[in-house]
Amino acid sequence: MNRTQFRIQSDNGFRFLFQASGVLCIAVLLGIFVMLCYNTITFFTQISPWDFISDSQWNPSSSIKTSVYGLLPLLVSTLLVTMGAMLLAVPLGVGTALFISEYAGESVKRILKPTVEMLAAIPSVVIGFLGIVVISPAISNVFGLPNGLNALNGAILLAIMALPTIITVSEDAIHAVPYSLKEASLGLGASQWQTLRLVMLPAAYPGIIAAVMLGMGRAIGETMTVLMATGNSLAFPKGFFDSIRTITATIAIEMGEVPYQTTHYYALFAIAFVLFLITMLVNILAERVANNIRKFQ
Amino acid sequence: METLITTKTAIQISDLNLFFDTKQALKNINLEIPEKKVTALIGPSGCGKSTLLRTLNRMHDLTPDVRITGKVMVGTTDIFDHHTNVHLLRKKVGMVFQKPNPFPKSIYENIEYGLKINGFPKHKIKDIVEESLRKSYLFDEVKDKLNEPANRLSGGQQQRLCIARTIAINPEIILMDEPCSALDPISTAKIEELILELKKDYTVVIVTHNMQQALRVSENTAFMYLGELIEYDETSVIFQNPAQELTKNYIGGHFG
Repeated sequence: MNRTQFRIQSDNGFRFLFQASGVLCIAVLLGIFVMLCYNTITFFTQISPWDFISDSQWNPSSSIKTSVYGLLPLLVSTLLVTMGAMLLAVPLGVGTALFISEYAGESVKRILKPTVEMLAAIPSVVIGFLGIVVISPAISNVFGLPNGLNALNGAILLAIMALPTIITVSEDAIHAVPYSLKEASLGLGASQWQTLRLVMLPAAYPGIIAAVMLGMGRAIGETMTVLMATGNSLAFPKGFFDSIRTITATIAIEMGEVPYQTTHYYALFAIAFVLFLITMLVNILAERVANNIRKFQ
Repeated sequence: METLITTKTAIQISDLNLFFDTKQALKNINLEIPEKKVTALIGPSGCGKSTLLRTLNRMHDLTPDVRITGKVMVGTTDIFDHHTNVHLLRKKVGMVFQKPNPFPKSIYENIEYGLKINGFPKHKIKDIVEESLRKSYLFDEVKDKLNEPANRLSGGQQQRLCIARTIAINPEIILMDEPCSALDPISTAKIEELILELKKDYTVVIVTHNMQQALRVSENTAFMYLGELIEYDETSVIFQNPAQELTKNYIGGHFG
């Protein structure tokens, strides 16, 4: 075999290799999606979608007659902790990002940024542990509750988990605003705060939205922390002081002991599908908002 | 030099030194900039002309490790005095930058911004926006699309918008840092025409790389080299009969 032939063949070989890895990835993702859809559809052949949406109780049992598969308590729980987490994490995160990129000196920045990034490396089980031994007792002390394992605890922990993402991505977005815009604003006599609020933040908006959505994505999908820290009560949640059980925690708890191919088994896929829909919706919405603002940039 | 002294002085620079960390960028500058005239700062890259310009509205406040000695009087205000309000100074001494830098907002909002932050009465804003667009010869080109993003304008239009934004807040002095270096010849001609119009109402200080531009728009020219002010005189004198050998060589294109 001469050199030219060898080069052509190795070219084809690598082409095949990359093609194969691409196809494999897409096949795996599609496979997961198809499996999710298939099991969800099977569930709805056994339980009506209306019951699934309207029942205010999640109570699977071995007999289909006594089982209730209501999505609501799980969905409300999930939304409650996620929203709570965002309420805490967004102002804190964006504020920290502003501080790092606009107010902190070089030396502070050099320490703060890697520290924040390191926070992201803490495993969720450690955060959950923190929730059980530190935050939960603190909550029960402060608010005089018998038990601190509730939605507030979960929200605080998820906020901690979402913070590194929100801070890092927002900081990048603020930092990426051209220096010339800041100059233009200050050159017109604006103060630093006016410049930040009216020029830098709006210009960084698409990035900040992305940051919030990424953080939210992490919070919605997070399992271990909420499983450990929110008490996992199946009662319909009434507020942040109630013990709750999120969609993710429900799947994690029940999937291990459910017999295969039963209604209960399919039900877990159905709620997973709901989770998938929420995440997708969040992403689409974020993309929309960001695009609308980007028109001006 | 007599003619310079007879007109009113807008900016008086005395014994100005500026250091970036340990490097001296401006060396003992003394310069009087007359009111309602165009003064050009020329010189090769790195000679300190932009640095000098940015001193005049304290843009160096943003840069760490800058040390300034000497005195700059804008009108009767000592700009380095602790009591001087830097925001009011910058309102009085507007700046147009090298690259057009409109805000990522609509054309209207770009001008409205400066008016809002400087507390102009709300009911006057619309008229001032229109007036400043007219003054910068942009109104006819944009009157139907005031709510469109400013960055859809051409580079030259953007720069005129930046000038409109600057004059909207009614400054006394306009600093221009190579305002045409990013523009094509036709846009450049429009800006130059505008500068000639502006000097009726404002004092203009313009940094330029383009010697022909200095010749076309300015009454007085300062030639700088390596942080020093080499020569300052009427533009015609600088270009036709400079006193310094260095100026002559630069004007003649022997270096730069």
